[in-house]
Amino acid sequence: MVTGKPEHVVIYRPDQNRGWAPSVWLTMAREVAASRDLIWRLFVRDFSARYKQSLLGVLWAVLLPVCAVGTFMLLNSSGVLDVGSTTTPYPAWALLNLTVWQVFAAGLTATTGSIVAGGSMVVKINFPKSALVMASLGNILVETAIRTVMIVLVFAWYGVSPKATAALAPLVLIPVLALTLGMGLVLSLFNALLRDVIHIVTVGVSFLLFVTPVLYADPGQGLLSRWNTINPMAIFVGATRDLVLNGKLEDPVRFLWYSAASIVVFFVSWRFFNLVEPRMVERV
Amino acid sequence: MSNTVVQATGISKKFCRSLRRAVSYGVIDIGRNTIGLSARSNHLRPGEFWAVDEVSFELRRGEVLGIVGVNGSGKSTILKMLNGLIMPDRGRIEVSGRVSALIEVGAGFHPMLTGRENIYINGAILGMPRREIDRRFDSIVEFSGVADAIDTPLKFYSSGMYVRLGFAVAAHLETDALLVDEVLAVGDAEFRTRCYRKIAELLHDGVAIAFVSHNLIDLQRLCARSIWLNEGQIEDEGDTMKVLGGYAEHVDRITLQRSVFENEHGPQTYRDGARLTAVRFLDSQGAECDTFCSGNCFRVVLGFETDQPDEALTFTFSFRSGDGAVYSAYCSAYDNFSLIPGRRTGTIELRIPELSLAPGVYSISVGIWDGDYLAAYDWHWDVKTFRITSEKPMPGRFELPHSWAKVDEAS
Repeated sequence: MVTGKPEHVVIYRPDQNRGWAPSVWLTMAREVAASRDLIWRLFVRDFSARYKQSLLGVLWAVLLPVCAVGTFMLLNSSGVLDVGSTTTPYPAWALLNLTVWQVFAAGLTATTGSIVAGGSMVVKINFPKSALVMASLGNILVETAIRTVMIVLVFAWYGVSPKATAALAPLVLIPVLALTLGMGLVLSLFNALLRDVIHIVTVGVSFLLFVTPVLYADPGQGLLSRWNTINPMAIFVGATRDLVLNGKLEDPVRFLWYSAASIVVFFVSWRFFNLVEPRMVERV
Repeated sequence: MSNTVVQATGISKKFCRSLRRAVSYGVIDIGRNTIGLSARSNHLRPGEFWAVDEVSFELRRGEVLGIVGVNGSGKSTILKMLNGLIMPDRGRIEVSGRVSALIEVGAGFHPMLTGRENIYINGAILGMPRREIDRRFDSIVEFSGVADAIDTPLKFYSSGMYVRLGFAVAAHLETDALLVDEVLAVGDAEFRTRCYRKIAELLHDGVAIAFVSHNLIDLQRLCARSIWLNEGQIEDEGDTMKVLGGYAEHVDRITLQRSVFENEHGPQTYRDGARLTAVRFLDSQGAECDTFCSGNCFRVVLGFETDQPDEALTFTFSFRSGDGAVYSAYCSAYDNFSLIPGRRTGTIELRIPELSLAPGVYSISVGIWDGDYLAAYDWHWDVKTFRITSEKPMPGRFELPHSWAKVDEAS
């Protein structure tokens, strides 16, 4: 069983992993590259286990947003609340928003719980724990793909034709995923130490949905509107809508700044995760 | 290729018992590392202790290193450091090649998925590339002995099949060093035999193995060299027989001490009339001592006081080992030894000409009863301990008088 490869010597000593030098990034990148197989396997495991005992299977990905949008249409038509005026038929408009929103909302919940869901092997086996976090996003991507098909069908049904720039809309998912994964990496570690974190995230995400113009149109004035000029998810959801329906970004500079910031959040969180991982294992 | 796979030099690990402090120290350490500073882990802060303290050893190809120690002595912490799961706070570990751990069997197994799917998941978690699993798949299935059920979801497996499948994957890792932590404790006899054979195979292939176990028989069978950890430090190391001898004695001593102090029966006087006043051990020369070489003469001397010098007395004596088993018990009345002291104080002696016990620590219990051996006056449970050493290995619990002879076959 001795590997025939030339021996590489690994050294473990105190303070080996510190700082921000290029070498630590190289090590981290190598680790992720080496865990591609593992990420894929974990994703396949969770995916097939999730749908093996389910009748509707992946259709749930469609049912959830349809129910939410349906409820808001009902509330709107009975005058309980006002979803505002939208340029496009409301169902098509809201389903598009909700799909982008769910990448963040479901993604954050899944990533935050991922380390704890890994069970005792997290503290007993040496494998890159980031694989657990990344694999938990896999299901979100599948759901997003299914919802995209749904959006296309709904657009066709209402006779809405998307602008050519809609082809660029998937690019918005890059900062959304970077932000989600970045926050998820950090929160998953905190959740391993303190189980309250996952509850805070669940509550926080549903609260955030109420104050982000996803299921209603931004009123354009007041405190809520001001908040949404700095709410990253309002900006990303808005950018997707702009690309699909308007053919141009309303505020490209703000969008680019927030995208860059999300990428920075991801890299800082990734490094943080890498620094904390062995110390977390000691303390859990 | 060098012979040493893992070289641990003066490795230490500190822990903190208070969770609140552990978390705040963690935040400070991470903070320092984040800005590129050293966590200065080589000194203790309030509430911290060394769980592993300046331990050095090496794992060599084709050799099993046994690691023994009571719970909390740092064994698992050392394996975690060798595995790269946690970092040492002092010292360094040099690893040449791949290190795998057989600590958690069946990591990542999902009950809804089939055995086949789970082999790939478990393999990936243990760090096997997909191609390696493909190549060894048939061998894994064969070793596990669950070939018939390989396409059945794991939830229909018995717990034995589950463990066997998990072990089969781990046993097929391409590795240079394997860390084994108490896993052999789970399977049945057949499975254990299979594991021994696999370990022998791995050793033959030049894998270095670290083996943590509480089972001294397993350790004796597998390990040429062992280290004994006590409170995070190496208490003894070297030849397994020698190390385990010392360790077994230490465990016996702890067990007996505990029973002496915690025994609810305690030394007690049942009724007035007679009391034991002294217990001494003597060797064949009459010198007081508490360490005897197995097979030598053992004498125990009891001093007593009585209020009725003309009444007969009965004495009892028994000894037991650290695991609680009473080895032998004697009663003067059963041996037709009746004593009427005639004076208020006296001394009697029990002599065992050849005490051929296995090395270890033993405790004695003594009692003084009335002449009919019906009512006890005074009885001391685990009153004193003595130690047995041996010049030759004694794998059993005691030795009977014996001899060997060559028998000439009459043809």
